[in-house]
Amino acid sequence: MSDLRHLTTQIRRPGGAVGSGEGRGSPARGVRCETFAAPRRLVRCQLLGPASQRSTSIGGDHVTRHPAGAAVELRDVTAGYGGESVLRGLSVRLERGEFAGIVGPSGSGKTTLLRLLTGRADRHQGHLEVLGSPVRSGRAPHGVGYVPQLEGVDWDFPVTVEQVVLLGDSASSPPVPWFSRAEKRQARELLDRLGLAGMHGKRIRELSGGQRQRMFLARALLRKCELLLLDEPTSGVDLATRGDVLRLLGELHHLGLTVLLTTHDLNFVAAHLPRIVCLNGVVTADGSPREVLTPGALERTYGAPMRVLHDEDRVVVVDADPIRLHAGPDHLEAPVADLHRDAPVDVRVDASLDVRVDGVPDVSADGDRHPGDPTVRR
Amino acid sequence: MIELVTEPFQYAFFGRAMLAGVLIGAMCGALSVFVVLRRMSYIGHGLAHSVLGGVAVGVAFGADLYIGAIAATVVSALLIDRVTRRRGLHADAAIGIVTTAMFAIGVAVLAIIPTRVNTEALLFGNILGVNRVDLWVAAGVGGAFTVVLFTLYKRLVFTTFDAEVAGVHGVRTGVIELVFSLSTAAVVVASVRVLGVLLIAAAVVIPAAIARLLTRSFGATLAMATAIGVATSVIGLFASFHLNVPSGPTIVLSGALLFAVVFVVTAVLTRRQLVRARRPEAVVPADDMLQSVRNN
Repeated sequence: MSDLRHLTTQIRRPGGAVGSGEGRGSPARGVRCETFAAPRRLVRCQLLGPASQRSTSIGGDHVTRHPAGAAVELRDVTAGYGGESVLRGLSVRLERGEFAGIVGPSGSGKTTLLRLLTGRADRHQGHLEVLGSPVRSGRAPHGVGYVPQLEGVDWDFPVTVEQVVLLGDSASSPPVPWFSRAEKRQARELLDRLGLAGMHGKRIRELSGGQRQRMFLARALLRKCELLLLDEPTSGVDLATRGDVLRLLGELHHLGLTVLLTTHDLNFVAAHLPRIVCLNGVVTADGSPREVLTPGALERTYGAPMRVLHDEDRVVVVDADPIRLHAGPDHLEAPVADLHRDAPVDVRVDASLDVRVDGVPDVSADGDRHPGDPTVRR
Repeated sequence: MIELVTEPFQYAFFGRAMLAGVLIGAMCGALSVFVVLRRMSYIGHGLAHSVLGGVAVGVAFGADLYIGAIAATVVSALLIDRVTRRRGLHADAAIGIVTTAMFAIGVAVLAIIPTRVNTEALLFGNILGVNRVDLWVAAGVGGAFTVVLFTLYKRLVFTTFDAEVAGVHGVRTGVIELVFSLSTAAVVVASVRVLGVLLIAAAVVIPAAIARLLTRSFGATLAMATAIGVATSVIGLFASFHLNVPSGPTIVLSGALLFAVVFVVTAVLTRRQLVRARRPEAVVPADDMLQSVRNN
């Protein structure tokens, strides 16, 4: 991310010494995860930029390296919406300065956990603290920044990039319909440093996926933020953009933020994050990628067998049984012509896979779905 | 021609109606931006329907028209807010249940208890009926709505754009939603006399729909929708006077007509821009090319 070169990280120890160090959030038990190993004894971090001479400042708000203690602590928490429990008996402790990912199947409670941490879900029992303070339903804790999923945003909303960022501070902004010059300057500085220089006047629809993520990051950072929560920041973006977002999060983490994100991308967290929490209503595994990404833990989490490949320092998760939809006549028990007559028809496509084909039997030979293809369900 | 404009003002009621219409048009126009962006276009329709129930019950018990209307819309707004917070029930379902029930109560009460309520004026609006009280109500609601917009503008916009994140960022979204619901209820009550119960819905949708076709920023959309609300009210009131048609339909029709014109014009302009963008580079005629070669 060339445009992040000016996002210089400088780490100061007490007494003004500058250096880097191993992180408190670095993986425990000797596991190497270099990407986001946080500095251990950081006291202050700062985003340095020509426009800002304020120390310890991200967009004007202070990001001070935290005292010892948990950024997030859940003890035997059961939570959900109304009377319905989505999370059961959850116990997780995230230290300040950690960078962790939550993975799990759809409906496993990943987003609910983030909503719980921001006071948007109901805690039925157990103890929950965020940044040292208990969280009450309906009350967002202080010092938390939240980046939502891009899918749920109305991109036709008539606002500019700068306005979206400025809205992030609307709760503490003076009760007038306009933003001050100082507020606008602060927002533009932040946008500049996040690689969105000159984009402040653009409509949000005009941004790419990665730029949209950065815009929301800027909004989260505009107010004092110690804990950054991101709901699937890598979904709906291409590989290059995913790398950009990841590097940016790494920079912010090094600046002192505790980062917790949800994702479906197992290999993304395996490659880059020091800690993974597997969730499926309950915590099924918690630790470094090597500890967590095992066939047993993954089957407990996803309810499906998966293979784990070890490649030097990397862990790669793949399907246990690759789905192959070769629709060549040799693989079909029923003649293709029969499918036209009797749809839906059970078709044995491969020795290891039962496939039901509803409607016309135009299963593509490459296994991809195309418009007009039949519905294929395992 | 000028008489068309000056003649109505010879009557005192028209001056009052025009003043009330301008205030109501501005309020409905500004409110419409939030209603449309929240995709709650049905709320004006629903709250206005609930007014009928409140007015009928209030008048049956000898109360002023506005007492019943205010009570009905406030109760409806609170009930809608409450039902919407329940997981699995969206605003459209809440509005459909609460306000239609209130409307049904009104129809039933009017059928059972004989009152002096002019049902047609209540349903379709009537400029003849605008009195000083209506004017004061419109002015009071307009003032309060302006204060709400001025002081809560940023929080309203943030909550409209992304209520969940707004809550995380310290905005009391529950309070904002409640204030918005009550503001909507107040604007609807103030508009009933001029617009009528059945036609308020269009007045809190059309101005923003037109403005969104013409503007890019939130502030511009808000300003233009307010102006359009005022303009359609003024045009509609003149049309109501001269055509001897209830004011609600004429105001709504002038808005709908303006929307149709803007829709067609913007569609044509967009199409032209697309065609221009796709047009290939100008081709040099063969004769010109031959001449050019000969010259060289």
